[in-house]
Amino acid sequence: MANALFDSYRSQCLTADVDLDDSIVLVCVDHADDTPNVASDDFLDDIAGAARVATSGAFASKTFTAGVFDAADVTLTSVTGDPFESLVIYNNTPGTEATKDLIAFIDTATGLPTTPNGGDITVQWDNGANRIFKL
Amino acid sequence: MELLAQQQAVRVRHEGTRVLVIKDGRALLDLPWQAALDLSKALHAQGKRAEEIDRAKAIIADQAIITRLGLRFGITSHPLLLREAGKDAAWDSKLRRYIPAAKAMGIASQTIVGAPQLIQYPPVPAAQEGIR
Repeated sequence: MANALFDSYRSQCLTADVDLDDSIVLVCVDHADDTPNVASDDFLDDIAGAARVATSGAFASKTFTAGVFDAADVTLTSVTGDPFESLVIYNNTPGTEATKDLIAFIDTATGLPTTPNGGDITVQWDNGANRIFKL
Repeated sequence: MELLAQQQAVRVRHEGTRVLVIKDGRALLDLPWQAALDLSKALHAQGKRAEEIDRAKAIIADQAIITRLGLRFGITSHPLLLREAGKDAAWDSKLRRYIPAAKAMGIASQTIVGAPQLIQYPPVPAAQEGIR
């Protein structure tokens, strides 16, 4: 696959149902347990719990200029567990996993796949024009 | 037949500059010609919308083909019909058989997701954990 927005999120963009001002986080996903599907997965409960290696805190310093979503780089502290092949960005504000919208899938990134060694992992967002993603 | 009889009972005619809609010998509407033209346009528009609902099944089927082929036009703007057509375009077994994924262009997305960089740091030795 390639980096992409989840189809469900693209639909939500047309109905303003997902607010990126909410708490947005990322989760590292182990494809040995579950491979996200951007065409059919829509909420966090579609990603098996066993596949979630580590979850970040809420993105900080978010900007939305000209349809480009950006935020401060994210650091996951003391990451342990299975190797992971992708990152999934989702809205962590809704109360249940069945309502936390999946937003973006990233499997093309320098450093992926990654085998956690117990140390911190920093995700540096693309510093080009697209940043995290561009609508 | 009863419905047809009712429709036949309604007659439209003009008297001078005014347009009359007469039912059973009584004038239902007595309009100036400009209003009559405006009303006819509104009736036409609402009639087409009602026709859209009546033919929903066929419209959804046709729109699903158009959507699956990725053609940049549509035959309806009704949101519910478009939503159903979108589902059929993605999941209908016949469409998937006869317009396989390789030929199904869909409507290309212009969104771009950036490519980040992951930097992994070595674990902090236990002795230093207290001073992190």
